[in-house]
Amino acid sequence: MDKDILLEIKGLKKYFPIRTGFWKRTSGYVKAVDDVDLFIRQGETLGLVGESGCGKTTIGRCILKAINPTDGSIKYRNPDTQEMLELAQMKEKELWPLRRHLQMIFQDPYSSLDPRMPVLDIIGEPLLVNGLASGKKLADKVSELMDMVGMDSRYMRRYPHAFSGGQRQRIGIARALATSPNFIVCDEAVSALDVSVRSQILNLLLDLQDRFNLSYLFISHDLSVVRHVSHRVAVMYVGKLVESAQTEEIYAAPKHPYTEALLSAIPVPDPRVKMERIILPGEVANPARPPSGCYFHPRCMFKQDICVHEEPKLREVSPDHFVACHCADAITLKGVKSIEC
Amino acid sequence: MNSDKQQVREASETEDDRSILLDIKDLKVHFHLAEGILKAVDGVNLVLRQGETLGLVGESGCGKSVTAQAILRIVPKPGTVSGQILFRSSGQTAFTDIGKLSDSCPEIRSIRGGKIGMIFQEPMKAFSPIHTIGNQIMEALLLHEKIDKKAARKITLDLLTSVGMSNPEQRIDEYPHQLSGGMRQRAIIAMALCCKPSILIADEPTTALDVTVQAQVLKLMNDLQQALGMSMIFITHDLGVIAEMANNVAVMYLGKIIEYCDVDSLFYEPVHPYTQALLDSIPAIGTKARTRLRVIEGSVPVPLNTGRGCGFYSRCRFAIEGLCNVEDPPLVQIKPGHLVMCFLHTTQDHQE
Repeated sequence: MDKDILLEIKGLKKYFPIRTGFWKRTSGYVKAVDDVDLFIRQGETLGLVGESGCGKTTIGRCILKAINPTDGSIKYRNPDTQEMLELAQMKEKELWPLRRHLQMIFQDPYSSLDPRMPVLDIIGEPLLVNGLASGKKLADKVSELMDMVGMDSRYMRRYPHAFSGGQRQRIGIARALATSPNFIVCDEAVSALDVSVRSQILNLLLDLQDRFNLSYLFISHDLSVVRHVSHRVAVMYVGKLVESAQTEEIYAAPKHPYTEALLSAIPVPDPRVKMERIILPGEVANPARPPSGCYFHPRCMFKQDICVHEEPKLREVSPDHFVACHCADAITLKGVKSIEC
Repeated sequence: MNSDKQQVREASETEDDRSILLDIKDLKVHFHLAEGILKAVDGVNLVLRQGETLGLVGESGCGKSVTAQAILRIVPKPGTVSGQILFRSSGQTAFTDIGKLSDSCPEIRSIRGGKIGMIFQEPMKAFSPIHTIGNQIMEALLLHEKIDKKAARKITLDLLTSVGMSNPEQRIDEYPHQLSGGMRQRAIIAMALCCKPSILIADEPTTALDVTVQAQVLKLMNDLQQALGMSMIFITHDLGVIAEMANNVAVMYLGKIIEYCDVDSLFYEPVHPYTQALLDSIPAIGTKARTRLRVIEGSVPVPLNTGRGCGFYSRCRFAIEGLCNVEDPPLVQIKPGHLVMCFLHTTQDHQE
């Protein structure tokens, strides 16, 4: 295996049972994540995009073992021993010392911080819980972390309500960095922030990545933001991975019709650009009752007979460019042009 | 300073007299709190013409939503509204001054939801969860039009079809929670348009929607606007959406309009330092990946107990100490239809 690979996911599945009736019988499953393969290298950002309900947040939670996958493998490289460990069905006792290496930054800076804890405790808690520091040493470390994220450490005894959305997000980032992780799931980390604050936080994330060689799984529905921070991008639709490639390649030359539609839907901040928008018919498929064959076929303008009956497998169509589409070789799709700066 | 404002006002009055539907002068919305006076909107002047889409852009706390609320007199207490809000429906000649009406008088109630429609960001918040969407749309119709229930139901069905709702006969009797986000937003649009308003105020209507659904809803709004000859005030912080929807744009900061121009000038010739900084800080789809974005240092201050001086002073790259933080910047005309509130441009020839 590539020595650079930090995390490798194969065949990941997470099904949530639907319990109905008086006896709470399982009548079906919501296939939130359905047979997904992904990998992330050390120091790399993988952007994970898709619309509501596509399973991207669930994948983030599975990797962190906040929830247990139904099936599949999650291999993570132990930073101390360099050996690949299987996290998927690992028991909590074994998992516990590894948790400090995998952290998460949440979307809502208002609900992700305990309003009854001062900043010192919020950022210090991971250190305390992992036995990494306490007392004065903890306060020093928290001060250092606050500096790192551009906050004044004199405010460490204040409570979350005293801070703005952008500052709270910085607190969340400091908390995620406390245990010196090498992998962070950024779950819509800037979506709730104002435009001008967003750019500050994005720059901060990029700086921290350069400084500490961090890997990010950057989950977002905002394709302009994802493009800005990611080395590679993966696109999800109703629990399935439909395409993944290097960032520039996927934006310039997508190979899956859904990716093309997603890209064309982004409003361009330029009134002179008349986007030829692809308006997809119908609604996003229901993950509890997905269509037969390719989940996207009811909305796809290139649909063939095979698409209705057979699920397309993810395959490599050009170096590092994977797509799950029967017709990928036959169709030419439009991407988004890049402006040379 | 005042003469500039007056000049612009008079020019528009004579030329586009009949096409002006909304004429707002010196609108102020102040909240008298224990901590002091919060000036959410502090002296806004706007004009909206027939068929025009005016974009109102700004970040959280700039006062754009409160401006919309003031027009419809739904500003929550303890807010006080002052200033002139002249409104007339298309085809009417006489203006009504909404600024002089009380929040719940019969006149404003006939305008609200009737001649001026409004849609909000969160569709779930706008709907009553215990009534069917058909019921709620019909309620608006029965309130404003002189028709019976049967006719209202027919109109509602037609409306739902025109907003692209699938299975309207089924949906009309469904509850809001049974619909997806995109469907709900379409239902809201149907409700806002049912009485054929002259003006539609849309406050972040697509922010909560997925990008493909947003594309559908924006196209729908554009199509409906063309079909109905309606004017729109489109409030958002998303500059991409503004580029697509707006004819003219007013950029707000701390309760004031700091720049006003047509949409092309906004993106290609922005003049106010805040507007320029805002445009620089968005990761546009065309910019090179992983370059650092230009940032606006600091964050938006709260407009509490503000004194004289420019609200953007603390974050402005070009701030002139002793001037910008002491005096209120004047409103300057860069060219016809392009106004900016800034000391840097008082000499009519602006540097770049």
